Amino acid sequence: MQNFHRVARRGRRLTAGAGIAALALVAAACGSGSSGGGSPQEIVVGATTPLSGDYSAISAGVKAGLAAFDKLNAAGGIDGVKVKFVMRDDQYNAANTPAATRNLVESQHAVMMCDSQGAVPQASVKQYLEARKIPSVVNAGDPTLDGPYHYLVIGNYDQLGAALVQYAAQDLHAKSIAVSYSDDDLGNPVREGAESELKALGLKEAAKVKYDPTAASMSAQAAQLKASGADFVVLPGIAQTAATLINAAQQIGYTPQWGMMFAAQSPVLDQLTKNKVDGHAFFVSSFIDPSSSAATEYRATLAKYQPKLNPDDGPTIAGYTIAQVCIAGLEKAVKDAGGKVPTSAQIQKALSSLTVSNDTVQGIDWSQGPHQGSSSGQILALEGGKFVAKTPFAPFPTVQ
Amino acid sequence: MEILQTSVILGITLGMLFALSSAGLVVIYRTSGYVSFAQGDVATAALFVGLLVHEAGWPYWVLALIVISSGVAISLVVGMGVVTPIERHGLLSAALSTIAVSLVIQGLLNLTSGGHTRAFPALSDARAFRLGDVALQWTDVAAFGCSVIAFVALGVAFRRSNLGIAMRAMSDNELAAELLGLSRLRLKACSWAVAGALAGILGLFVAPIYSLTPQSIDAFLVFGFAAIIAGGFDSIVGAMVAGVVIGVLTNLVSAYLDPNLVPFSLYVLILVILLVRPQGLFGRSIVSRV
Repeated sequence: MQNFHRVARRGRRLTAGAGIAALALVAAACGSGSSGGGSPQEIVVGATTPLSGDYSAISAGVKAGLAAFDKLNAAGGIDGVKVKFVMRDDQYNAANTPAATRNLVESQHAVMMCDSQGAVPQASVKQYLEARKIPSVVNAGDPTLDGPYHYLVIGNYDQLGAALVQYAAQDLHAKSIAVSYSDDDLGNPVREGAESELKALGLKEAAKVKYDPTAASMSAQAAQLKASGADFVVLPGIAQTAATLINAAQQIGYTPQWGMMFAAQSPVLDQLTKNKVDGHAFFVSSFIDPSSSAATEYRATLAKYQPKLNPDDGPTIAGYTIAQVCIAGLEKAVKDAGGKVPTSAQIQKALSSLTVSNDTVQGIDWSQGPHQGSSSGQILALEGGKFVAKTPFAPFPTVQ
Repeated sequence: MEILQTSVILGITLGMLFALSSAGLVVIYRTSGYVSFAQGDVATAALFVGLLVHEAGWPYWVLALIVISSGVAISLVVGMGVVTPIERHGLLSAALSTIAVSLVIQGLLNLTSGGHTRAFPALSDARAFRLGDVALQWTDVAAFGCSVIAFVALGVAFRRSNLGIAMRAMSDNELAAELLGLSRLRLKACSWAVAGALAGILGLFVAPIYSLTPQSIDAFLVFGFAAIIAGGFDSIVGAMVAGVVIGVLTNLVSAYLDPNLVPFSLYVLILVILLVRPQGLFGRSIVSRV
């Protein structure tokens, strides 16, 4: 009997503890949202994004996409057909993305995915979406994501890496170029593209330094880069990661020029590095300069529908532009469906014949087979706290 | 040689922060017998309060005072309002409840702040002096000094002061300590308050370097946990020594082996210590009467 009471007490304790933990998980996970209520007359479009967790800052891109859909709906939708844009939190963790995507497809009845973020998370659901025949316009630049139901808008990461090296060598006249990279689906293609371009230009790589984007310290990597003597360092990654390495380099008196991706193009980088990279930081992007006249409509839409977002962020303008490409595909699909709500098959057919080249994004042509991203882009520089275009839109170098 | 020198010097400064992060964990453990997994979130919540003060234009010293006092207040609410009452269901439930508190604080900060990365002001960006190739800033010097002062103060307090001895007595035998007239709740409140202040101090040195997000201080706590396992759950000196050793070791692994091996090597170190010397390098072995 005593044993029974002891077991029962232990059971109650464990239940209390587990109950509290479960409640907390629910509270922490309550970060999903949508653009409004659904109805049979709406096209349901889904997106997975890190609404919570370490990477929640980059969800700004998908929120900017939501602004684009809100603006479309406020103007009456596509010939009266509204779009319901539903976001689900995957914390940028490929282990969570399948459940979040299944929820969108099977419970929310999404007929299309748009703006879902991250090369690794999206790779984890590529087969599932293909099996369900759901088209997906992804917010990632890993060329291996391309497929019959997958469409890329961001220029391929290897081409972005090559473009940085080309700019460093030809415009900045850098004598020694090093590549720092993370061992993942972002860092590896950028490294490969940079190495290919160095070879094409007849230059030798000063150093190849691997870093862990989640590391508490990058002082060892900064020391390795300094020892290489490189005067230009290719550094893919988001602003927070880039700032950690740049600050570690500053601490040991190493101040090269830095070549980064649009993902790090953010006022946060300037703040985190205490303005020390101003004039020394360059960014390659498939998207327009947020302060250019072509971005007027983008800034106005964000100010109205997502005023908390910073329009100068690279990931924000990327998410907005990708949503605009999705809208172009949906407009075509609604037209093909005779003004009615299109099916997934009709959307896939419309996307597979889409070409986009306008003021905001250039060189997208999904009609010729591969569904690769933009083949053109530009280099921006951080100058006086602002991101300034240094080159006009031009085709990226070819990667061998 | 340059890489080795830089890795060691910056490893020591980083290790002192790991050690500081473990100090708050040790303080709660020495009174309550479990660690708080919400320690990083207490620091983060206090830093967000401090950021409001900074944005209102107040000077740094006011910000620092607000962050430390917010840390104390939030820690007291967590400790005395949630965790200590749950102790009646057992220490496991109390420890689990700190995970729950951690997730609730993160969820609330995500909802209210949006989860964006924010820059946090530093004590000073001015350069203090050079040590080899490394230019140390006054913030680094202050972090080092504060860590040393915190460890000396805690070490003296736990060994010499009535309050510290009472805390140890409470940890060793709660019933006996209460029979001697010690107030269980007062001692626990004191330990949560000290841990909250340490969380605030840690946050003031970590956030300017690694930015502020609802999770940024938690990344440091992993190393803090490793430090108290390696140093000994109840040893203040052990936490400091282990924190510095972990700081240097992780930098060397990152420089000479592979940066992706840092977490692996950390967990191997923890496992080996748990297998060979479960009480940690400086911890007391538990002796029970049979």
